[in-house]
Amino acid sequence: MAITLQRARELFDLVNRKLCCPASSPSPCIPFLYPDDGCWGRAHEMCRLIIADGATPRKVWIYGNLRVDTANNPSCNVRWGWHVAPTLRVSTGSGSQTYVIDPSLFDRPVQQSTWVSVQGDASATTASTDASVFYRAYNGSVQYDPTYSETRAVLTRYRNILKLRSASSNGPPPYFNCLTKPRGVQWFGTIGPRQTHRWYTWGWPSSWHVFWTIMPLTQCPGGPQLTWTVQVERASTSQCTYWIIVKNLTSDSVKFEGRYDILKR
Amino acid sequence: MRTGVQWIGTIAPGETRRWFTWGWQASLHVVWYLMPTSPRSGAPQLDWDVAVERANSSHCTYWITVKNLTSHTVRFEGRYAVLS
Repeated sequence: MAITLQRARELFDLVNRKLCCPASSPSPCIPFLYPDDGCWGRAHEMCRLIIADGATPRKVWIYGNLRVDTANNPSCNVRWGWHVAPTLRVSTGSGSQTYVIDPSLFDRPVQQSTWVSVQGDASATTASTDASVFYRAYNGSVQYDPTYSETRAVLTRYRNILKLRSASSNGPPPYFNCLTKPRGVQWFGTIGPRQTHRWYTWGWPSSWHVFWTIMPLTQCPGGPQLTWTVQVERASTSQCTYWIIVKNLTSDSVKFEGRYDILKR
Repeated sequence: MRTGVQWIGTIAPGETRRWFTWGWQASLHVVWYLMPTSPRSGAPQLDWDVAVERANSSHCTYWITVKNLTSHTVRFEGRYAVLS
């Protein structure tokens, strides 16, 4: 039965709230920030949550020479031979369309055609199954996991790999080399668990009214991650230096943007 | 720039209390500040800190910790400005 797009958004948010904080990845979170592998475990767990909430998902499987750009891999992309995610039928004015729930690629439900198109293979093939199929090979053979024991094993494996990657020199996702610095961002920073660290930025006209804010880039739902204070030094008659002290309130490393707004020049 | 009042709060004498507001677009530059609505001259009434949580790839939650510096209950507006 088709649902509204609003209901599909609610179900997307329901599963996305289970996202793993990458450095700690406590069970039973879902490691959406490790897009490299483990999609079949994520998809089966998402279907379990969606079914428990009263909806009836299916799954879409795609096979091909797939390549997706992502800031959550240090190489800025991942390559797959296949991929899977839950789907929902969504009512439109003239009928219904299939939407895909895939927080490893998108921040909202997307039409299946959009989901296919970002995977970089125009000749990729797709297949639809019901949600009970845990794994489907290219030749159509299937495996089931009615007790979710295999699902838990897959999620545990990729939670651990995400933790290892986050503890490496790469740090937690996203990766700065994959990001474009937006207007109004002075710097990208990383701050360790419970750490307080000070950054400075010099050469600002002291006649300007400048406001500084911090925004985490590392996703970790559940509580505040960062707080900050600003200090200022009058370096010369015309210029000043801002000192921004950032405090990490969590036990995980956090990447962030240091932002400014010029309120008056 | 766009400004607004997100909530009206009341805080007891000497109390420190935290509020949160969720579902804000992380791409927006938002600042938070308070304004007492209980007049009392002579000394500052409220102090506050802001902390932020990245809830998902596109949204964040702001946590505003408010401290009442006085020996009287203070009612206040929780204000925001979207800078860009």
